[in-house]
Amino acid sequence: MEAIQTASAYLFSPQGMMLVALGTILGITMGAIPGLTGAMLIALTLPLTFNMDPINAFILLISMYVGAVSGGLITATLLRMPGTPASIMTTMDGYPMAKAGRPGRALGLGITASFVGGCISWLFLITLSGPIALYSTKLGPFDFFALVLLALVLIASIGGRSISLAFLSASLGVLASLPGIDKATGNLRMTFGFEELNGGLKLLPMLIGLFAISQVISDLARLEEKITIIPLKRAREMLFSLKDWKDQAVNLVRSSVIGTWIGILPGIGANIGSVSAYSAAKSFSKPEEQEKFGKGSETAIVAAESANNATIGGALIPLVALGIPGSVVDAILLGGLLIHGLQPGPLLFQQNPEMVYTIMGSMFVSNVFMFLFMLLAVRYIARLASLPRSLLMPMILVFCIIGSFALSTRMFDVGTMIVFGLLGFAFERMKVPLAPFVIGFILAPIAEENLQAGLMASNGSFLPLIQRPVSLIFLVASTLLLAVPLYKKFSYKPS
Amino acid sequence: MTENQRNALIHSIVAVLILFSIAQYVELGSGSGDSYPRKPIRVVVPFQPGGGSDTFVRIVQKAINDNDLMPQSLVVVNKPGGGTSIGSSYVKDARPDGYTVLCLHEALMVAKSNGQSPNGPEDYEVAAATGEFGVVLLVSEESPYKSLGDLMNAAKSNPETVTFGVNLNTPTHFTAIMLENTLPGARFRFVATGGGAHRLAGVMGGHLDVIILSVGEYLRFKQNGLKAIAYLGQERIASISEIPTGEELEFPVYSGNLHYWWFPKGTDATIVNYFADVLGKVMRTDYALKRTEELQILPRIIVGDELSQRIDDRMKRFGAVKPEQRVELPNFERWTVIFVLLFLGIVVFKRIRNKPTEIGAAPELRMRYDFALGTLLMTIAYVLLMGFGIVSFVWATILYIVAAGLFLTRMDRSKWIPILEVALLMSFGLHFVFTQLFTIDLP
Repeated sequence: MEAIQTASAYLFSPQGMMLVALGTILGITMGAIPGLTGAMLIALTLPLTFNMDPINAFILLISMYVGAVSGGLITATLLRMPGTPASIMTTMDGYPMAKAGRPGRALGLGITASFVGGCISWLFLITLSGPIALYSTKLGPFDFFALVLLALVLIASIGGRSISLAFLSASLGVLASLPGIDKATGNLRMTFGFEELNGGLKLLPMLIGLFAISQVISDLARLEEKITIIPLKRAREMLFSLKDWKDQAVNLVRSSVIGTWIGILPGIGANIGSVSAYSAAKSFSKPEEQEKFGKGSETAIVAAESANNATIGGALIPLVALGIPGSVVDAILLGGLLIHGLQPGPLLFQQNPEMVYTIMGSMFVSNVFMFLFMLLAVRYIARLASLPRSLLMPMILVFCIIGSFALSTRMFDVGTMIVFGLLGFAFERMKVPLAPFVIGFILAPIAEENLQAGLMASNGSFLPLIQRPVSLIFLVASTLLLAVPLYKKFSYKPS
Repeated sequence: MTENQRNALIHSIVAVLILFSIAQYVELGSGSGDSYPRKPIRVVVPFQPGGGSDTFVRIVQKAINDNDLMPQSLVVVNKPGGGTSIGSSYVKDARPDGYTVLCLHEALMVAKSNGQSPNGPEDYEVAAATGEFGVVLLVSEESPYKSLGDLMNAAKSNPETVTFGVNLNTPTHFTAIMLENTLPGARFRFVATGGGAHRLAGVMGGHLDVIILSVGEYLRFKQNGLKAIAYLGQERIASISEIPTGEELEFPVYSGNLHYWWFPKGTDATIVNYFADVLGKVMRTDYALKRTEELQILPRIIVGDELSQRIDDRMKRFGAVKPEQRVELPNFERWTVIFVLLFLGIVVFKRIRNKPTEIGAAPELRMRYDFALGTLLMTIAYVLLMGFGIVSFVWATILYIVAAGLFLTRMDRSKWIPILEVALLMSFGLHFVFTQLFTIDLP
């Protein structure tokens, strides 16, 4: 009780609120700019907090984390440029909606969904962190593999009209994920002698290329075409109406729970949370809504944005309860605790309860602040989309280039980005969907790593896959999800 | 506010921002003083932030700042990936002016020994090795193996049944193989589990029998139901004095590791020695002593001949370890290629069969591929100019935005001023944001 008082005294002091505001706004800005990630911001801020009180330092750092995951939706929606990998699924539907003249609505949906996702995962964080974190360690590599397989199979449901095109795209994505170090043997593979490929192709340059660069190319080709933007008439348009809440309630809860759950699992980040929730939302939607996915579906934006913010609370669960980081940012936070002389781990709750409550409290307060700030700022931000494109395009290109470069300060990543830009453009011309490519690229390494680890532990036997209850459930679910759309497709003969 | 007033306001804000960033840029060019170090020194850490190496470097950074041990500070740059080779290659290729240094423990030597990385100790000038951290062997409290003896005997009587979580081809894996070699016939079943967090979750969840963690990590996590069965150092240490060493138990494996500081080959010896001196002072500061004690790192420092001897010795030991693949794993490359070809076949087949409908698609608006192609070529030229270091970021960006802007607006005079504003803002402004606010080098 005393610890809660201490934490809230810090948090609700003028200084604490200032830090929340500063951290959240900086986070949103970094999240919106490709190449500057939340992890980078937090790592760079860490030394500046050395001389601060540890509680104040964590208020600032947690606010940055919340802001960074949320900010990505701005550029994803308006420019089809995913500011962070976490907002990749938002580009799929946010951008078409903005392009259809409703950027305010698209941003509004994303912001509210982010807020709700954050709140739901926060509830899990404050109530169940201990038991959930312990349970998550019971999942072994085979369970992880089956879980990822399930997410991969969902590609069949999100790929658009043609299942074969979706799977072609996905398998090419898997192929692109192979170069680099084979996690199971530690040896290099498919690098073709290029030393730069030792670390594999990086996700962010690839995403920026596939989505932003390909979009710039096709926008340039249509430079003379006029686009009309319907300005926001009233702020109310951005807020959820009663009907929106009713329509999206199930979706919000489902996506947030998926996001929280994915966040808890170590090494599986916000991007996968949002991919999984997006796929699930599509599978559960009515056929007429499913048609809209990828073309500006409201359900899709809500699913993607609530899930990626929900991963924050999820990833904090193992950090707070066990001292195990659930994501890269959490690993930095863990380092931050150490540098401030605190011992993360199961004892943190007993030794420094005020720090645990600070982490929990700042997440909530920053989430509220993010919501209010983004709603107020969105009218101005949405104007970005109305800048003359002849000026905007070179600016976007410069941002994309330094964004890719800044990740590891090397030109190789910029080259990767340009090559994938051309590839993305070609894919779109040939009607090959991009989403499965990205999903294949992100999920395959995790599936592979866990299958290999499982096989090494079982001495090459696949049997545990069907012997372990959790993996069996996931396997059965994946089989059903794969079989049902195929069955529907072939039993259903259109005239 | 009228439209005109608002425009004037925007233009003046932009002008102020531009002038500010130009001022910053000019100031940056004029360095002060002439003795080393004149500017901050970049320490490349080839891991994600938050790990052991990163935390250690940040402690050194703070100790230097707080005690004024150097007129300039350290800047930590994380370059993870490629099994540490991305970071180590970056420093190897950096200018040997003393302003870039790699902080990497013995993973550098392991990565070189197994061919994962082309960079070995001979590619650098090593300044010092600091902060020794020992490792322990851990099992779950419920494990049937109560001691190292139990574990080794089980590995011998039933080879390849005891699961050992390691990060393949890294120091943990090499240490585990060295442990096997202490009892002929003993063989573990190695499971690639990645970093410390995964190993920890693995042993807690009962998926792994034994793992290696640093002493600091062990003390932090032992409440999670973990038990140390041996400390793999030369002699017992105070904080875990109840844990016997491997040697006492007659399985002599020594796996102490230190953070080495590597400068690019050709860095002046006076610079390297100066830096080693500073590190020596760091290790004696109260702050570093206190923090390293908390993290269970010994505040040791090795320099000079002792250091080169240690490197030679470690290279020999690592060279003698030959990791092998013990379980037949599916060939993912082959399967992926098969799937790509399969789906490609299906798609091509369907396209050929359904050709008429494809042609029936509505004709698109007049496309200006000249704009797209022209801009793309300019972009590639821009990237190449910077990539080969012919023009620096600021000037290349001004040139690029002006050229692309004029091209896309077809020399529309009314757009000249906005184009110039954007060009200056993007070049000087971003230079300021990336190099001053953040510490990212631009080309």
